[in-house]
Amino acid sequence: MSVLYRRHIPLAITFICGLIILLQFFFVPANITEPWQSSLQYYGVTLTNWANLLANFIIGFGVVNISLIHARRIMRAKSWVDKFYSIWLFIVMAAFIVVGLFGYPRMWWTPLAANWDWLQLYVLTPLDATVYASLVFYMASGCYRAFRARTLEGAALLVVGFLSIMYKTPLFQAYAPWVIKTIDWIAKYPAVGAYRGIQVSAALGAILLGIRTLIGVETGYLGRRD
Amino acid sequence: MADIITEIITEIGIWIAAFLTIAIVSVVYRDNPLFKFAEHTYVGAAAGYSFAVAIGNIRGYGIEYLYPTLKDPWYIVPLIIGVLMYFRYHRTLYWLFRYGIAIVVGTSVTAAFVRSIEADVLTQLRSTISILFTKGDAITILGNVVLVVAFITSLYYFIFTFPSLHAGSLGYIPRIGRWFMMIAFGYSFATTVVTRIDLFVGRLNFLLFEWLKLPA
Amino acid sequence: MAGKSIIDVLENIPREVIYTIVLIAMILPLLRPLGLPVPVSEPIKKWYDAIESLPPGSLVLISHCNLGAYPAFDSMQVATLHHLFSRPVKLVFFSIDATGLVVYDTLLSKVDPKAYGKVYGVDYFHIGYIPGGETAMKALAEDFKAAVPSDYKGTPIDQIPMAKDIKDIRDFTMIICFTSAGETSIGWIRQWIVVRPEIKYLCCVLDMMLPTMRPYYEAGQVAALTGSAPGGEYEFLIGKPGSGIKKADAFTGAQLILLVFIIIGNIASIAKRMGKGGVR
Repeated sequence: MSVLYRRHIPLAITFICGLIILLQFFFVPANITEPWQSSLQYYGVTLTNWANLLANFIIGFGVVNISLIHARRIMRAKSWVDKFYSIWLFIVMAAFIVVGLFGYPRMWWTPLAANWDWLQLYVLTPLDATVYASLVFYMASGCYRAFRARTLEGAALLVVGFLSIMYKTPLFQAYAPWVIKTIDWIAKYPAVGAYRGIQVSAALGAILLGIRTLIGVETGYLGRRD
Repeated sequence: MADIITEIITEIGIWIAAFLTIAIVSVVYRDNPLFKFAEHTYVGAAAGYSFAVAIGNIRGYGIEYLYPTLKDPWYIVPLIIGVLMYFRYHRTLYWLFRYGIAIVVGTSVTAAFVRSIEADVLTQLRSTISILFTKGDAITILGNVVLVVAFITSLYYFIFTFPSLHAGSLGYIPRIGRWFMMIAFGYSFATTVVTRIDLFVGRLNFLLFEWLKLPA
Repeated sequence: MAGKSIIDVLENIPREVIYTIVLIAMILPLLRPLGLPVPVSEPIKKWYDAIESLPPGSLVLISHCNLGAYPAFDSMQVATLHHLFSRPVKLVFFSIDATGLVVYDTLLSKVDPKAYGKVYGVDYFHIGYIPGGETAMKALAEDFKAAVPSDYKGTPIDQIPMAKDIKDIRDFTMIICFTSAGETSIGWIRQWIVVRPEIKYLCCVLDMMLPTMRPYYEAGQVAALTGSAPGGEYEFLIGKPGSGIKKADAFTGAQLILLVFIIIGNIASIAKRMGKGGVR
């Protein structure tokens, strides 16, 4: 019995939700004329909005998971320095949550709106932006160490890569039009052909995965095994 | 007076932002306490930020339908299901989480794959076939033929993965595909280099002109 | 260095040295701009023409970038906003990422809509962040008001004058997307362009995503496709020089150094393999 509501009903919900979206896609035209089309559209739209609303609840899992990991770390850490990092994480997280709850524009009461803006601008912005940006140094080191012609295929990669960096450099854009023409041609023909092949293969895989999920073959999203 | 206080608070903010920027970049030298501090600040800030925004959205896209004026009573259903999702951490009632995730997965997966057939497969096939009938100069025609060959061979490389189809005389097809992919990845590599520089120069602009206030 | 050949030294330049040289190569052009010409490339021309040819009263959806990618998209987004605000069109801003709302505030601190006579709620408004990725795009396309009960500040949608006439995807003429995520740039094609191919889709991605987006552009699903790096070209084209033009010089500096490092690395490696130990 328990497997019914633990497993079968969730799988049935997935199937029914998918079916509604499928029916909406195939049977609701741009200009709705029939009442049943209008109902189907309403169910499709409502379901989509529900899914968006539920996605907000999923965001909270991140906070719970991080809290669990760092609470454990505080309890088990041997040195005070390690404990400090996790405690600091909690302080920052709490500050963002408290200021956010009374500062984020969509809340009921926003006396901390200015503090919320300040936190976003001077704490979150530099961190979020710099994490990706600092990879430039690894890239430079990679260019020097790994970008070498060791095989014939590697040489092809190197030559095209080298010319492409020239192509993307404003100096050469102004003074070496032949580079621009060559790489333009490569980007437009062989690169599009190769990437299109990769993408169509990936899309076919994703479509298949979608169908498997709908019919209940793929069940990884249900979490732990019963 | 208020202006001076605002200015001081802004200036403190700029110094904190500069400190955090430098702390994050310092990891390229090696892992160090400064980076660890910034890293933990980042994780805490990002998690706290997303949480606050999610609560705001639950109000905006859910509770607003029920309160202060009742617009659509059915919205009580996703709100309850959403709360039930937190039983995920319960030892025995964890399965309640599955009702919510089933709605999200069923809806989003179908919405994506059903349109993917047209956007990612059919249109791409149509475009590839149609260029064979496009007129143009010799370079364009050569390009079109190259595109089609690159497409077919790289598609073959990924779709027909049986070992027998990659051996013998048929082995030439995926091998040609691999050559085209190498050319494409060479181009990709350069664009990645540009992106990283682009992002970092953005941060340098902040450090040089907003923090150090050097003449632009 | 005693006992090491030049080839050995060239083959094993310490990473700290590489980092320092690359850093200097980026900083110097920012402090002392080289003043190199900024040739306007074809994608930027197409981008400009697409916005320029928008009929008066057109409704444009702008899906701006997230916070992490903001340093890259800064100049393209600012220049595009200058251009859009100077045109008689209406704008709906949207954030597909939670951190996008900060980006919107930062953008409007750089481009003042009032300077163009634009009023919030009448000429433009922000619908906030909707999670869900493609399902959010789908919801906006099918029933705009059901997906957006209020603007990003919580003002009910009925109180926003320009939202009165927006029902669904059919009211939009153009989507402009700035994104660092492939599922977003392709998601708009799947959820909007497939449904309504008449909509012009302008897509600005990180340069590293250009190769994966190019097949969609060649298939006619994207009207204009550009990377974020040539923002300076666009600033030049609309006559609003900003951070992008300065960036162009930094690109030249850093990329020239990288090219030199690639050459050094390869010469050293080839020389070593050929057994020519170099001069001791």
